[in-house]
Amino acid sequence: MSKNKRIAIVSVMSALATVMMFIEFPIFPQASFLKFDPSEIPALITGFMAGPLAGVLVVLVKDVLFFFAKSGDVIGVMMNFIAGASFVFLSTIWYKWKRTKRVAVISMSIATIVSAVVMVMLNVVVVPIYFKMTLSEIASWAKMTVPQLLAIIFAFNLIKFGTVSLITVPIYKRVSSFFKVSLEEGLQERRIEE
Amino acid sequence: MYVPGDSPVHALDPRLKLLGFMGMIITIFAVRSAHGYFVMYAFLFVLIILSKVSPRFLLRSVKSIWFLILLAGVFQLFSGYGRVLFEFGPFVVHAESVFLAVEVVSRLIFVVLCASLMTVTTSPIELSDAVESLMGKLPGMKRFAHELAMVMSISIRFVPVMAEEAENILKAQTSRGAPIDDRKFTGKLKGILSVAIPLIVLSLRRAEEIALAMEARGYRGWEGRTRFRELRWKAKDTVFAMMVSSIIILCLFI
Repeated sequence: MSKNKRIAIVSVMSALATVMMFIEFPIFPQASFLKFDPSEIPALITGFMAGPLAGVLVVLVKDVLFFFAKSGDVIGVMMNFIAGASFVFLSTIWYKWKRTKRVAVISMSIATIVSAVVMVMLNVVVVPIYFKMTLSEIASWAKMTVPQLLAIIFAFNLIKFGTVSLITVPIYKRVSSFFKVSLEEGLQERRIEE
Repeated sequence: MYVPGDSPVHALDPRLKLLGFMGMIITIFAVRSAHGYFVMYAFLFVLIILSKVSPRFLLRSVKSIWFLILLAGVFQLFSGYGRVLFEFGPFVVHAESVFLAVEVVSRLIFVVLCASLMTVTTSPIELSDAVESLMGKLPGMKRFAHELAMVMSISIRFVPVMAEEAENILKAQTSRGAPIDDRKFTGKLKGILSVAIPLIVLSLRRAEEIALAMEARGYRGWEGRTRFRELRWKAKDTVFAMMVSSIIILCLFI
């Protein structure tokens, strides 16, 4: 893939992701605070097509643009970036060398779990600074133990990233003709280099 | 969010604004005394008045995270430090807690106000130029900084286009009976798929066109690229930089 094409794909997909970030809806009608936004899907597709760094770049640009458009919560945007970046990077790094559906599915499951763990650790670090309270104080206020609170954060992120992976698989199937084109191009480039 | 204007705050170098507001946000987390908060707020209000942006417009961004602010305040109020101020049924409010609640709430509001004052007075294109210029100063980052700024400028241009595209596809698929408004989760997923697939295919096609257009105009990265609008450091930027840094240092030590 040429450099200009890579820049163009990352730009357009970031714009798409920014638009998608505004469409958020609750996963289960019973728990309205569990918001799901599909903006990581374009980032993941870009990561599969143009490499993990391109995917991470889409997450970065989308978060920055969302911050410009809606503004406000700096720390929330930063946490969104770290979670999204780790998810997209881990999902696509193996696929870079081995382009099969099985690899993609396995990497996405691993990335889902690892990113949920990353989110729990981030919350442990950031929440005390943000709320100026220790985690155990918040937990006792909500009548929970600290592990219970962390388990809820973990489950939330597991559902969030799991849903993104679940949606990306069928989309990947439909747009894979584009993937194949870029794969053939890659092979050609390699042949020329040799 | 950007509101064009000709105020002194609008005219400042975007690099300075980016660093200055970032510095102020970090400082508010390190300030220990009430005087410090007072000085920081006073400085922010002076900037808001100078920027000629209506305060009500800025407060709209505070409204978008009001729930978080409220939650943080309420948490602190019942955290139970210091002597008991009053009891109201099961709620016990301590004197120290009231101070802490005020501190946390004013800190969050300060962060949001700072961030939105920056985005209101600086256009996204100026900000991406600032990011390119600042990042390019780091060793070995020049190429990446240029590409990041390029991607950001193209994206900014295409957000409204993609929004329109998304709306058109949404309407088209709804008229064909796609389960967009389905209450069930699986139905909603199917609805997302029926919109996301054509949207992504369309975006990829558009990306191809953009790449071709870049090729045709001879774009070849940051090497040999000149600018129409160059960022220039002026005397008033130096004055503002000195003001911000002295206020930050003052607040950290009082």
